[in-house]
Amino acid sequence: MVASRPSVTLRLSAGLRDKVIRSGYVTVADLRAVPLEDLASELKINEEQSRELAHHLYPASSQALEQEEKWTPITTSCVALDRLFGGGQGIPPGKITEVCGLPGSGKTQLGMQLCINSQIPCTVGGAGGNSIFIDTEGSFVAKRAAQIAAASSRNLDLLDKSTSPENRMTTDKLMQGIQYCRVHSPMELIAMVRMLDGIVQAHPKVVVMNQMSTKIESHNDQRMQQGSERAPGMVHPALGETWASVCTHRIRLYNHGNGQRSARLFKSPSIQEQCVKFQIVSGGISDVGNTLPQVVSIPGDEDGELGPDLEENIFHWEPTDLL
Amino acid sequence: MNLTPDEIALAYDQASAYIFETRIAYGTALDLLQEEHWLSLGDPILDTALGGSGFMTRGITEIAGESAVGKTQLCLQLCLTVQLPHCMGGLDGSAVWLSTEGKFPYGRLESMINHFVSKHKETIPGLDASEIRDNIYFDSMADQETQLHIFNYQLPILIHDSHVYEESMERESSRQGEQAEDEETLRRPKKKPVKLIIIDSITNNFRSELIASTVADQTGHQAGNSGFRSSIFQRSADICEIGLRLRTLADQYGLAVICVNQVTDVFEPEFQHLVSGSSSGSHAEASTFHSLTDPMKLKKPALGLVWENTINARVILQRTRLPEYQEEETYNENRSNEPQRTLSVIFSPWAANTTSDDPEESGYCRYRIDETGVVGVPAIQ
Repeated sequence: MVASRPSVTLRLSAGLRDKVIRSGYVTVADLRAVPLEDLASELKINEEQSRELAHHLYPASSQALEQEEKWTPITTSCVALDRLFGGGQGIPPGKITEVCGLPGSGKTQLGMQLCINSQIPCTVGGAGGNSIFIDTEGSFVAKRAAQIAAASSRNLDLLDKSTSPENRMTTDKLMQGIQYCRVHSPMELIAMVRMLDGIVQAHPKVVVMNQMSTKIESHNDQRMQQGSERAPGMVHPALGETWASVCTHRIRLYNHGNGQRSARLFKSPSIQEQCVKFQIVSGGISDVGNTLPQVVSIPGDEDGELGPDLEENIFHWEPTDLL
Repeated sequence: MNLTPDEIALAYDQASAYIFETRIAYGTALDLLQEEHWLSLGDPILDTALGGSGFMTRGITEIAGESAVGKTQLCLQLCLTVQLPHCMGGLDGSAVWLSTEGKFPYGRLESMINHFVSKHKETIPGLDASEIRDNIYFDSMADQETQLHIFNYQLPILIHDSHVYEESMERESSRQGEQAEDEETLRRPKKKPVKLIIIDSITNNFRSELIASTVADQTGHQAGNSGFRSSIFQRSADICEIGLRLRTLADQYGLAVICVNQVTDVFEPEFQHLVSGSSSGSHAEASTFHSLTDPMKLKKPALGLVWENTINARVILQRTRLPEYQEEETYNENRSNEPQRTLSVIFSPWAANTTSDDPEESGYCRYRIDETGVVGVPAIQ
């Protein structure tokens, strides 16, 4: 482990290393246990030296880790689904997540749910941001979004009774927090994505979650130009290898009929490939057997594994749909 | 041209900004909610099955089913309800009917119009049968070439003109004031803007011409298979193009686009038959249903995955062959030899599909067809 590394091995300049060792700090862990300011005064080092020490004690990767921890993941309102992403709390920010699946598998529903969940206030453990939905298909139905928003609003009220009436997340407020734009062609999509920079700066707390939705939908955009490009007998996500290497997480949604839906994680840097169940009800996405969508998920109370019979069937697809 | 990277970036940004401002609709979801309109089917039970308010606008909805389930009937009904004012679930617009399957069913429409007029005579005083007839445009698309021409040129112009016409009428009437409505304006039948496009059916031309091209290819020995392949790719490209056209139009003018689709057989691997029914593994099952003529046969909407990705929602109509397949009780309930017909939402971004237990949001209902049109049948408690 890095933490037990002897402090002698830090590549410090001679004078600084001398001071560190003479003060009795044997390992890097010892050094890290003390706040940097205290360390500086104890070792009687100047500013430049303390910066040097900090640089070696807290390398960039750990700073990135810290930042990652500071950014709140966005819950999908389904515990099992959240667990597919490292950390178990939902879609990780700062990364691109792809959701793919056949029509009717719930991609758009997940997108709408996330648009609303990204606005859960920080006080109840949400990201407290806004969202942008880039719609290439015309599938964003405001009425449905309002339905999910109303359910979420009710849940938030139950969760946090202390908020004053003006801070309440009402349906209207949640709907207002979703920026919606409809693009018709790949050209417009490129322009839109270029404009995102400015939009995000104008809304300081925007969580552009539909990076994700955009991309799924941009699938279909590309499909339009290329026709279908899949290997016979199997359905592949569109856009090919180039896109496959762009996103960090990829999940695929399935609709097994009879209200059984499942999601399969098939690319992730942190979690092994697996399959979980979820369901879509009037209030949005939720865990199986739970009629109310959960606004803030509590991990670790349900086993969402799929039975072997369901898993087996997942990759079968008849090539007959060409005709 | 010698441009520095900075200049290129600037040009790129400018171009993006221009497209963003002129082409892309942008706003909050709340704004969108207020602009969203729905097309009612004119029947509360059917509307409930479709999520409360009927069909969505700004997108493509597919109605699929075997022949004789009532697809055309449902579409005819929409041609009438679209003319209702907004407060009654209509869109206060006219309908365009594009047919690939022979003649427009004038006779049937006539009888439906009569019932429609007598039903709404009291609530809408000015309702007139000839005006309703005038607000349904019909064109037939005999082959793919005509079809592409209509989608690319005629349809956009017709829709554009009808919307511009309405605006000019509004301007005119506001300019003239209330008293000065001259006789000419009164005599002119009131043309409403196009709010509904019906394509009956999207499948026909693709199917017939696909077969024609494969037959031609079989004259060359090995060219047969590759010819079929390339025609499949061509078809996919055509489907995508039509889908894109329709979606863009739908979004631009707030239209409801309804495409009727035919069905195709589903060939299952042998072993799945042994598992009998419960083998709903892949998603393919979601759209499949049992055939009317042979309950052992599985059917699903035609045109495949490319089309499935193009549409926004799919509704399947089914009917059973009665009476011998019906259970005792439901038979009594039905009290006639009428076949049992069902409407189910397979997928849609706004209505639940057939899985929920709650009848309010089941995405499923039974219906019958009588002289007035398509009527929902309340669920048996």
